[in-house]
Amino acid sequence: MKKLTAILILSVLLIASCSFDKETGTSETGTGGSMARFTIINDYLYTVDFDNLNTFNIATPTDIQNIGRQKVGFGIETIFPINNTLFLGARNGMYIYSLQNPAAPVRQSFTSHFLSYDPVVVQGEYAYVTLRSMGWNRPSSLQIYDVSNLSNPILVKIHPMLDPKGLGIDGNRLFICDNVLKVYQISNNIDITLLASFNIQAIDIIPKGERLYVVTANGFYQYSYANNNITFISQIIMP
Amino acid sequence: MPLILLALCLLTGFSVNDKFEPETQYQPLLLSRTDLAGSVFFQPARDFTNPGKIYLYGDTIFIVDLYKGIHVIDNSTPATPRKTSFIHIPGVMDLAVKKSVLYADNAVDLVAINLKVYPQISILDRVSDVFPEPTPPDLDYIPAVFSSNKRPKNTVIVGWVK
Repeated sequence: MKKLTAILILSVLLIASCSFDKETGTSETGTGGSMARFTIINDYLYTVDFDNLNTFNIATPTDIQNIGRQKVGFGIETIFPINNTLFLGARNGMYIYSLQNPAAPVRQSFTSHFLSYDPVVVQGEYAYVTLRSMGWNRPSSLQIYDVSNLSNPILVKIHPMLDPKGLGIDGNRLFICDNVLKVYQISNNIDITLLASFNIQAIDIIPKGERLYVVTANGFYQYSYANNNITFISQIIMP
Repeated sequence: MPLILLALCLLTGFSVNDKFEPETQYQPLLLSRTDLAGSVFFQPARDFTNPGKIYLYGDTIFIVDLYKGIHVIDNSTPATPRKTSFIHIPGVMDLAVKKSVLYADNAVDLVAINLKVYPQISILDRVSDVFPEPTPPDLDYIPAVFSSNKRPKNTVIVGWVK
């Protein structure tokens, strides 16, 4: 029942955000990639820097209120918002903050992993974290956590990767910027099957509305993943 | 608008002790606080040099060029997306947009840029000194030799060059 409720809430959110996009080019808020360090939820802008989580009230853009900085840990690299919750990717683990009071995020949990570079994205009750090895320690991987209890995430699956950076998820499609751009089919939330790979060195991606937006070290690429076909649409790259 | 970017290595009275390996291979780019306040403006579209963060907003795609600014891409025709302009933002790493207001880090400051009046620049607000200075690409911290008391007064690091 809890799962169903979460799916319903998610669906409503997805439908709402899609309709905004269709109506105008000036929807409420946009969408960042998994490497983002800024995110906006309603009237609040949350940012992470190396140590801290900052909260700004942007209800009046001409009068931004800097309402709080809290020390999180070290090597905080990414921020991912979902359902009044922030997931922070750090070098040594994953932090979950509740936004029950959006002006004052409260830590729900910290789940440690080996030192690595590690963005996180979340869908339903699962968090997907890529761990890019720093070379001298454990091999790179994709780790999948059951986060149905935000206070106690449970590692449920590890898939080996080569050199993962950003990642994105949309329904049963998982996209990973590994040594090449990889597209996976997800089943049972935790099993993955490689469907396609593209020989581009992607840094980060956003899958949205059956289109994949990719940034690489030399520019921008766009793909479609409608109807189970992954096809190239366009690119803007360095000369 | 006079923007004076100083490469610190050019300043006299400053040298890294060459008995030691320097901690970073990069030299900081400095901007005075006064110039930082006027450092955000629109420029013509330009080539990517160091693409980083990506952000979607309706039919517009923003791509950060690390420490330099943000490329604005019109993607209303996905088969032929085109760059329409570049927002010059020294020290930028990230952005988010709400209701046509773009929030970005301008080195240590947070700026709110009104996108509705493009190509006119309109900074709705600037919150000073809320972010740490950008670190060299090969380090997680700013080496002590570049700390603020060893630089010209009232300067901010806005990027790094080799």
